[in-house]
Amino acid sequence: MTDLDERQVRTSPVGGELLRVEGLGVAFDTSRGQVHAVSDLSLSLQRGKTLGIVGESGSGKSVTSKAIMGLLPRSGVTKVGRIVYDGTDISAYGQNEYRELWGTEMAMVFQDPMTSLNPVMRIGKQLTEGLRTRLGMDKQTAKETAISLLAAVRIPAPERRFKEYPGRLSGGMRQRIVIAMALACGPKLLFADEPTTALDVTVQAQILDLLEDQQRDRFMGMVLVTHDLGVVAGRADDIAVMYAGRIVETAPTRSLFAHVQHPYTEALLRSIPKVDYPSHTRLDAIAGRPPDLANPPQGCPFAPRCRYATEMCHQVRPELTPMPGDPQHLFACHHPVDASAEELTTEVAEKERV
Amino acid sequence: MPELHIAPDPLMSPADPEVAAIESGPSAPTKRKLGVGGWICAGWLILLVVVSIFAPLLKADPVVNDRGRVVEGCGTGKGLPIYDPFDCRDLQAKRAQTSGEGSGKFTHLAGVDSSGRDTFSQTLLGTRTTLLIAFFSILAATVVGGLLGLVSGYFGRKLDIVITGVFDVMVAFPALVLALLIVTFFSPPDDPSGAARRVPGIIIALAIVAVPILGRIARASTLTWAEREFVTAARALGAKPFRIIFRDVLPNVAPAMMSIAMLGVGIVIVTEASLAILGLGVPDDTMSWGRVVAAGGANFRTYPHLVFVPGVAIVITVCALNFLGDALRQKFDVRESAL
Repeated sequence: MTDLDERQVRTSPVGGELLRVEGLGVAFDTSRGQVHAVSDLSLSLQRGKTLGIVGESGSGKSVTSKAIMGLLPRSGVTKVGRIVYDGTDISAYGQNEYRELWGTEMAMVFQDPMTSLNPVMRIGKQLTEGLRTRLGMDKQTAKETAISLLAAVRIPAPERRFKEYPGRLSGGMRQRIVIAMALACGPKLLFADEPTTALDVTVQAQILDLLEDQQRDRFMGMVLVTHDLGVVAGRADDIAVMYAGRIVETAPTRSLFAHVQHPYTEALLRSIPKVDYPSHTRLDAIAGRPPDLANPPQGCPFAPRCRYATEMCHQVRPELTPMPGDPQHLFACHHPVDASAEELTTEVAEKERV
Repeated sequence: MPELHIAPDPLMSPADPEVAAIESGPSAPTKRKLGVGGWICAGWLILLVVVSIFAPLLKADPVVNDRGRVVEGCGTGKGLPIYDPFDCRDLQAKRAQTSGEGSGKFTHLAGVDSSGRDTFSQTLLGTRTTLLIAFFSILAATVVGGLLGLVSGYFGRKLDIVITGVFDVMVAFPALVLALLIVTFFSPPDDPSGAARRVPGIIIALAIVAVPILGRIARASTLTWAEREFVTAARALGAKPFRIIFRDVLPNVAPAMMSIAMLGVGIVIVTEASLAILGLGVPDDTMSWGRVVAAGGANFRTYPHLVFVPGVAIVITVCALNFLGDALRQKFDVRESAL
């Protein structure tokens, strides 16, 4: 096979692996020693698919996406592992090499639209800058493209918004602009780092639907980072649940909800309120806190908060192993729950009333 | 039982936030105005600029003999009482001032100095040099200090350590001593050819003194703005570092820098006067406010009104710059608006 053929295979629009991460580890140097924000993380994303990364604050989900994007701070960080993007190993890439990928190959939607737009630059300028410098468009073409992008993210009166400053827009509108900016140069991989956390609940669903539509239309791979299992349930093809910097359970969405294995996944599920719960149902909050990552526990990191924990859990950290009968469903637990999401949430509703 | 009043949650949006945003924009910015005070200050500064441009034209013509040589610099006495600050030596007025009688042939609004030269005219005609020195030294300091501060704050690491180290060393010197040193270096007082280099020397000296002050402001401001997510967002879209510095960081740092720069212009005017008092002011053929103060200062106990006009001009100008700088910062500072 010649080089040309190979490239054609690599960039073929259908199927194939877009992103593969093997053994990713990220450690920050702090005054208390190294904090292992992410340890031994592996994941894979197919073209045009969505991977949901779920976990609570400090579980390393944002750090994971920033590490893959090459956006970690420049000093005081150790990054190990292998990152393969579109067939190229980018683990050793520096800022200059990453700059070629940013925007055109991979882009990111940030958490807080209030801070991720430049307050003193007109929206049009922020949008067209990438188009002009990265794609070499002339002023007029860039403007037309930007306005059609604004229309694509469903901004009403895009010509008017084009000339305005971000301060005039609401949070939901700003997040649409941020999405438009991320989409501008046609990335193949989009990271959405808790894109709805800073938004009103009423707007959250709209933004997520928008992301989903755009992802489908443009056939992008998407990594959707969230702390809400409910957000990814209907939108992700695969889900990875993170806890204390590690993936504790990962599976195709359907399989994950059908056979919840890890007690942490179970706990996350139980903590989501549901409409069909009778009123005054007490939500099952997870007691305790995640472990201190500066000196992680010897055994299973979730053991101190786990209702099934035994002596073994405190001593030996379980490895990520496939579920019997489903090699794609991996989990790291000595005492898997093995129940469906349905069963678990029904149980909550029956058990506790206030 | 009294009804409980619950304050409306500022984070709660109207029923349909999207629609509300389309109608008016959530924070339809109320245009902050400069206010009367701001306009008065701006007016004073504009007046100064006008004076510095046109003052020489207002001067009464000197009396010349047949060969075109100046025999008396005090003009014909017609028009405004503005005289040549060097050539008009009105000894009659000087005697009148010394003896406490009324002024003689000419009206001198603010008295005459020990050589009979009109203080008011000197102040008026010194405005240009004073403003030029203040403006160009601060301009240079803003450009150099701002650039160093931006680069230092944005790139950090070793570059930051070196630049902040240099700033610290410069600030550690007493400003006036440093300025004296630099002026002496550029135009030694005992070197006759040095006089021509005196004004540029003063500008360079004052600029160097002001660089670390403006540089530190730029660096501190850059540090906070470079942390903001939109800078990371710009990076994640493939923008190059200097593009980010100039397009994303600089416009946000600029209001703070502008405010300090305006304050700096005032400080520089005062420092220029201090240099003049210490004998390292503008050369003899140039007039500046500092020089008028320095000349009048010698007889301050007997004739305090001689330093009054230039002194008041300095005070009003410094206050105006300070006030206006603050007003402009408030007007342009986005941080105080809905962010």
